[in-house]
Amino acid sequence: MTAIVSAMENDDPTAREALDAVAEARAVNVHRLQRPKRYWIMLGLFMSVFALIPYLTALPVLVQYVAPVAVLLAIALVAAWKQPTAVRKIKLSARMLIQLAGFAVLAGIVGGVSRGVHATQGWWWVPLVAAAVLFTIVATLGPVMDRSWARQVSNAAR
Amino acid sequence: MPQGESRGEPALDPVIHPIPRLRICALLAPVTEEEFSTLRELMQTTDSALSKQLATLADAGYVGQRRAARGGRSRVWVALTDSGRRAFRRHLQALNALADSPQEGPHRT
Repeated sequence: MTAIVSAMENDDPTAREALDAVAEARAVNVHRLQRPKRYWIMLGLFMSVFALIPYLTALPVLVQYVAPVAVLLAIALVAAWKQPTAVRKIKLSARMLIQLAGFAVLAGIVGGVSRGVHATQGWWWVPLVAAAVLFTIVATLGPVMDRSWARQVSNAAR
Repeated sequence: MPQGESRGEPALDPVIHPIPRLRICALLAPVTEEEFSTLRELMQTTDSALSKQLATLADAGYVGQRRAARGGRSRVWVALTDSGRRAFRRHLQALNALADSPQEGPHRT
């Protein structure tokens, strides 16, 4: 190790100073890699729109397809208007991909059950409840998952 | 190849070791790529100073840069290469080993 140490320039930092600098950068990463709250509200609203689709069944087919897309675009436009990007190019691990798939499956199950119950029982309030449930799940669990991901990727290379 | 690597021990990498380049690697490690301007803000440095550090890392094959348009403006994206990620990991191992060793004290590496 002495040879290595002597090979470095004299004004180079000590190992402890270098590790402190890395720790500082990691703390910055944990903070900056978390998406803003508006991102999760936008995603929650997307999911709510998905859950509310059963209300459109009485409308013409064209409206059934166009209306949700238009609403999604409007939500995205409002959420992103004059805001810095919420895209974080995190290196996803297998565990993170599974969590993401879990989110998608959960949304599919809630949306599917809601649609089925609404169609068979005719309970008008079911899609509304499903929309509220999906919004709450995404808006509350999303940031928690995001914070956990930011910590994981920031401390990955130890 | 950093010194000490041939003997199978963690080796400090002289390309990564200076604090600014170490910080660049630490900031790029968790992401697939990062915008040059974001990196500059995080480093609280100037375009030219960051470019100089990135050029050194690029010469060693540790970072890659690409130019892409977004929002009608051309932007530069910076990413750690696979060999850069490996080198950074090895460098951290070497730093940890050195910090844990009794030799680490007031002297500089």
